[in-house]
Amino acid sequence: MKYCKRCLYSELHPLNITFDGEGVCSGCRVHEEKDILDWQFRLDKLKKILESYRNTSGNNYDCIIPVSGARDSYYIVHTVKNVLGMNPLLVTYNKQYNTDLGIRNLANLRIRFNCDIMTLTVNPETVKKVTRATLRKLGSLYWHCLAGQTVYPVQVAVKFKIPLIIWGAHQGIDQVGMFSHLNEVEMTRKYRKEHDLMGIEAEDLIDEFDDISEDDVVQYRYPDDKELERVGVRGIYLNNYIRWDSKAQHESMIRDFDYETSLQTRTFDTYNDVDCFNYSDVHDYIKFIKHGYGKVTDHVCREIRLKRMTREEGIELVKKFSEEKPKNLKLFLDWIGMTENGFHFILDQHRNKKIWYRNQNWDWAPRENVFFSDKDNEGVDQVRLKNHESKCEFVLTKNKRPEYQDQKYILIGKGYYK
Amino acid sequence: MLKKRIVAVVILKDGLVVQSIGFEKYLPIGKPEIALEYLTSWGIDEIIILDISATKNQLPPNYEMIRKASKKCYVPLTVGGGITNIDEVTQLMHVGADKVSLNQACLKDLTLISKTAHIFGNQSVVVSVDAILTDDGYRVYDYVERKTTKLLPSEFAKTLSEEGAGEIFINSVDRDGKYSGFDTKLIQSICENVAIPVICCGGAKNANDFVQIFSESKVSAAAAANFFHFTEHSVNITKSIVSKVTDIRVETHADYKESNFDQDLRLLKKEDKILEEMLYLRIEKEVI
Repeated sequence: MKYCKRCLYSELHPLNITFDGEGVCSGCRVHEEKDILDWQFRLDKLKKILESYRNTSGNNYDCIIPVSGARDSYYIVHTVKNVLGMNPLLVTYNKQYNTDLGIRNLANLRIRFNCDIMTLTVNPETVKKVTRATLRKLGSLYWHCLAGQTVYPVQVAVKFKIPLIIWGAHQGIDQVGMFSHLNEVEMTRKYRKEHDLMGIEAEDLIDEFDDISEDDVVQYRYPDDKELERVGVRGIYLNNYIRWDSKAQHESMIRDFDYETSLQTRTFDTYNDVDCFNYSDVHDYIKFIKHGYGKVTDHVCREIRLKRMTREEGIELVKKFSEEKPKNLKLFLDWIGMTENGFHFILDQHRNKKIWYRNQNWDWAPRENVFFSDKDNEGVDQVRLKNHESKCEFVLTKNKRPEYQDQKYILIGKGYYK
Repeated sequence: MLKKRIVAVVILKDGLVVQSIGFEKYLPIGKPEIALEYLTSWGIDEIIILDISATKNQLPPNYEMIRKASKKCYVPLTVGGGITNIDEVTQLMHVGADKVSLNQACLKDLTLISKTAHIFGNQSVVVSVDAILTDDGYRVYDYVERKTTKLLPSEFAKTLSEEGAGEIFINSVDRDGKYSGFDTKLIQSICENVAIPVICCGGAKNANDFVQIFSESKVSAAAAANFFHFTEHSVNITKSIVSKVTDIRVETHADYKESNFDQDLRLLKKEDKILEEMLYLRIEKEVI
């Protein structure tokens, strides 16, 4: 298996990746732009775009910001509202796997930034039905979250005639260098279908076997092309205009707005995705089975490129967290009504056979040399970045409600505990 | 007069759609079937799939991939890359291609053009010529050997058309992925030398470049690859702008006729008054 000589992404990255003559991946090459581009110029460009979208009648919002409460939400709202002076409407898709801390962070976001928020909570029985189908078809328990998060803001834009949607980082740019920052890529339904939804749109889930009819997927359907055109819906990504550094941004949000962090099962990052029982747990374990790597590799690659971690430190962390078993599997199985055997049976259908094989004991084992071998270290020094910071440490804040024991998903929470 | 065509080029490297920059840097985009599905629904006139790794890796065309990708493509589809003989052309036609694009095959042996034209008609043979600007003027570039040949693009194009080529696809190596606009001089030199339709490619940044090349040269079609991946409805928007000055086909329901654009031709916000009128149906207050 081919690995990047600088970061730790392999050729099997699900967003796809290319390598150049030095064996460096497209993600690392595009990331180099972060240290070359004139970010002041780019920020001015962003200001100009936002200015043109300011509502002049006082009867509507200026823009929509999709939020989850975690993962860059605070920074995006802070930048758009406090720094750039826009009047945003926050929208959130209720992913239903909420932790107490996630509910608290979202409530705190709403209160601290003094924003209106619209929430879509789909009937949990429908969500379970959809999730059973996507587990079978794609081996994914996160399809409904991704579909909801990416479609609900667009639906709100069309319904309330708020044409601008502001997203944080474009994953295709940040992880694999799908586009240059200069391409100023915007939100497309094409990208959503291919990469967020793994090629399956809401309509494709309608299936007698899964007992899913038209009614069940109505909340996940994308507005018609003509509706988008009539309102002029556009989604822009802040990382094309602001030098993106998720870790530094979260740290300023912890300091200034009381963002709460937490330890996670399968990664060392304590900032992203702390709102969800499954993201860094069952979902990430599935990612490891399907693609041979987990969120920890994404975080390591990010830190290597931002010159805070060496490749060698990264490999240690990837080895430590990749095989970590999920802690919340039972919770998920109880929620969806499935046995552990059944879950593993389905998962095995989606195991990547380029990575896994059955050994003599009929257990799944990684193929030889799929994880880093000495061969992968050849030519690494030629393309190594010089580190700015010697240590890569993540802040762990004090839990605001230590007496509470997280035991089940919170569908709708009360919010903020002083 | 025939309508001008807006063409999308889908560049494939090892089965993956990529952005190509200067014939040497490649950024990963995704699956060919998704690219074709959306380009079609956005109202593109024609699609050209070019597999740039097949010949380099000495592989035949990937028929399965073309079969899968062409399922959602309802516009004329040209396929190029890895074609060396007439059997491969035949097989491509059977899996969904409407035309084939020949490049390397013609640098070595011109007879494949006439063979293909004889069986499938001249309209099915597109010959792709990569041109590079040297100190002595334009020359044909060999992308596999990564070498400039001695051939003059305009003269070579003439030979190709005499052999039976139905269309010439002229691509500028210098402008590939550079967004500096089409190379008018190069394109003009080809158009003047051949009587068959010419498709130009290389350098398009947005609709303005299409408008410009249609006004400055006699090309039948202009093509772009990378920038169609950047924004929602990129084709619909390009066509809405080009159609104001050039006669082209506009058939999508979302036609952006009422929209305005900024200097980079990105969508601008509609006036608040217009948006507000869309919001609710106005019902006058009842007066008794």
